[in-house]
Amino acid sequence: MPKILVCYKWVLDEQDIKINSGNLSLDSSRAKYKISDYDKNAIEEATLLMEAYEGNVDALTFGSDKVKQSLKDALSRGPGSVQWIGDAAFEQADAFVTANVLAAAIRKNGTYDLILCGEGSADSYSQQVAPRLATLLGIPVITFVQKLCMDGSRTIATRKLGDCTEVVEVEGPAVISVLPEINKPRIPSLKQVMAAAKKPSQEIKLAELELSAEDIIPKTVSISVKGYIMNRKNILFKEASQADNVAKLVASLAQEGLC
Amino acid sequence: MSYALTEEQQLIQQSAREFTQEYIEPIASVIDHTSIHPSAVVQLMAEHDFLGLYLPEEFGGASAGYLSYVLIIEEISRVSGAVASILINHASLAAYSVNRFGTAAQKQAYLSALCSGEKLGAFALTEPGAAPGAGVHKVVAAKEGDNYVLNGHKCYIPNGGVADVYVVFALTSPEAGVKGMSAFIVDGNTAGLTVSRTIGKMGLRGCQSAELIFENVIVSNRNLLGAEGAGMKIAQQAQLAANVAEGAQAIGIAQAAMDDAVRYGKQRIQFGRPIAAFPAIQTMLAEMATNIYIARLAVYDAASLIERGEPFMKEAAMVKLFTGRVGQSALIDVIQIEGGYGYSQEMIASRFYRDIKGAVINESSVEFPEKVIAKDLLA
Repeated sequence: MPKILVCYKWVLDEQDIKINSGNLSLDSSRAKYKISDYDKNAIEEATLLMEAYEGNVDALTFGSDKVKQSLKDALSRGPGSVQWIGDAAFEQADAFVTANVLAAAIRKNGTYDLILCGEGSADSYSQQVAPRLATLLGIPVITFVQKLCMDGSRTIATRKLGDCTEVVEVEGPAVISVLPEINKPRIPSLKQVMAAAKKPSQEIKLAELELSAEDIIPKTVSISVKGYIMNRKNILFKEASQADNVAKLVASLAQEGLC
Repeated sequence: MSYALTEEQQLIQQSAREFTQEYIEPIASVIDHTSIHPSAVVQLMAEHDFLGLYLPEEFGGASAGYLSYVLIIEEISRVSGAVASILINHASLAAYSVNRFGTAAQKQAYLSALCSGEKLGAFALTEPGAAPGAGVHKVVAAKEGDNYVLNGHKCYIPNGGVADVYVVFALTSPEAGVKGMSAFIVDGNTAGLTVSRTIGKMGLRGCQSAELIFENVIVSNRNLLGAEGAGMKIAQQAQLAANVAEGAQAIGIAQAAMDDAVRYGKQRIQFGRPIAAFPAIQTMLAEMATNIYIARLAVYDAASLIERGEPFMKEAAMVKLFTGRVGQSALIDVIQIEGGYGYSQEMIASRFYRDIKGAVINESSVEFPEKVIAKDLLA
């Protein structure tokens, strides 16, 4: 009966963000939030482990005051309960702050057999939270995981490394960060959505976590964010001979590193 | 009036959107081209509780409310009007009738199976004559002991031939005309009930429409739905409830078509500019966006009335009338904006153009919406 925690981030849905054509600033005024994509894989994997080994899964999230909107969404995907730490001051929280807050919340809750995270978030994709969290908790971390199973207190993970895979196992508690190929997150059925409202959720106030002022000051500060628009090159080849046009096209593509 | 959806309704909408993008959108064109009933999709919808979405929990439904139900119809319609029609005929017509007018025993026997998706429902009202119960092949139910014996023809029955349970309307007192019409719950595999042919359609292909022949079909009096002679009332109520879902279907189709026209208008360059930069195109888009916005509010409001158990007949008829106009007008403009591209068979705009007509004409057979509205105003 493993006790599993899954951490997720509530992020702006990038599909709803518009780029203003003039100054390339981002307009997110009409953007909705969503559970970060890879974190959905983490939730699904935690739920699959729960179903396979009859364990239980709790969810934990940290972010701005908007994170409260995420609770039912997360609960409809499998976890039995959720805890959240949300404050408008944390709109710009980086991986350092996030890991500090999550680790403090986890310590407050006791121990878990496994703590699952997505490999990186859909917005900043720094890939730092899982390793930082493990370091703070003093337990091992396994990253880039594409397959996961448990055997008693052992966890066996397949990691994807460039052009090969590596199978590792770990005894006792560990933090695992998963890749999207590990599973296909389920689409919650309507009864699961309805049932989510009846599952427990609990707010953890930042003051309860006994963090120092330094712990919650981001190390990374976003100075500006601008949209990226790839302009067309509008190159026309107007040689008399098609053979010359083709040769020029090929040369041009080669110059771009495309062939 | 504000329609800020509840958190649950938003999640249901989101879940439905994920579902339709994953399971329906990739095959929507194939369903249209082949006209084959998408049984695998229906099975998946059952697994995700779509088939009993607004129906009571005690019979296996999700008790999520009629507004949540129309949100799902709208989402499905954005990718496939045909699949939305399959669900409307099952949930708004067949299951609605059993839930609203059935006895406890009938609900136990049929509603649970309809909610779980173990059985698909259909609504057999239309006949080859001018109106149900009026033509030479009218379906008559003659009482014989504890049973009724049904004979006659039904036509244009959506889900016909693929449904497991039919709500069938038949004359128990033929001399009284439609006032002598009663409703029955009939198992699809009852002896004497056959499908004579399926009907090829302009749109909503894949929601199979069929002609049914009743030849000495014996139905137990336990399967009489409501009282003898209550058929017309049951048909009207169910059709009006379906009208609200069809309103959601129309705005779903219109919204998806408009989104397509917006995408096209930004991409298509003419005279050195995207065509969306031209006032004529912008006027058309602004008009359809406004109409869809207003129509959607009306659909949600009428669905809320049904959900709260309040009178909804006039509003449902208004929804039918208005969303039909809005939907058809939007599709005419979408094809105009997209030109030859939209007109080509391969493109979704032409499918939506054909589908919207079906969404508009379905379930207007008992009474025209104008008549329902005027009757209420002049009462």
